[in-house]
Amino acid sequence: MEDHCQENRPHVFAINASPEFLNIVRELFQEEGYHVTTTNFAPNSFAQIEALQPDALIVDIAIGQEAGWDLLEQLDADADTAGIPVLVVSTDPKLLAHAEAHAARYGSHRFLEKPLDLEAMLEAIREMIGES
Amino acid sequence: MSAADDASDGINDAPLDQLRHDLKTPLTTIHGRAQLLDRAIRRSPSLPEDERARMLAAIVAIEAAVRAMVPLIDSMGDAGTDGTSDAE
Repeated sequence: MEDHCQENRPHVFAINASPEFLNIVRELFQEEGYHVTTTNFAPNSFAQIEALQPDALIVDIAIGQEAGWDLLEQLDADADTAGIPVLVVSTDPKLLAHAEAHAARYGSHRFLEKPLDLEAMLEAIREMIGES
Repeated sequence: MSAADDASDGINDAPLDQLRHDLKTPLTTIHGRAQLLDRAIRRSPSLPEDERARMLAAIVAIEAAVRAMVPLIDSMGDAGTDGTSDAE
């Protein structure tokens, strides 16, 4: 799902299995003037990201869920997407620690644990895009 | 080894981790929606002051309840601990 009137607003692309989390992300970043795209790990998520070249990504990783991990590997391995900053979120701090410790496989990213502070997420994205 | 298997390797109790995830997911919604409400209330200059204070106090209570739940969920299944964790 994308919002309209992209103009020159910074673009955040969020991928998460929870529709309600995506709704919250969309409302928050639209309030702050961002263009927002959300998807729930559709098979073409990587292709969408490669085509749209968002300014930042928010990717969820979860236990037993291949799609988030596979996406991180794909993004880091592709020259067209490796430079897109990623905020990795998860309810599981062990998974976040694992992703952070294996940056060679999953890329070097920012990490936030869910339930998360919306201001912390905003600030992380602003810093990653270079707005703050 | 798949990425998910790699991440799970060494993590001892996948069913418990899944339960923690399933409990924290609605908490994430509650916490996120409470924060969005807080932002909306603070942006509403026409709200009567007593109404604003009452609504913000309700949100503080909701967020405190979420923060109380998270360490309890994180410590589920931990034998011999005092039930606290570093999670917010």
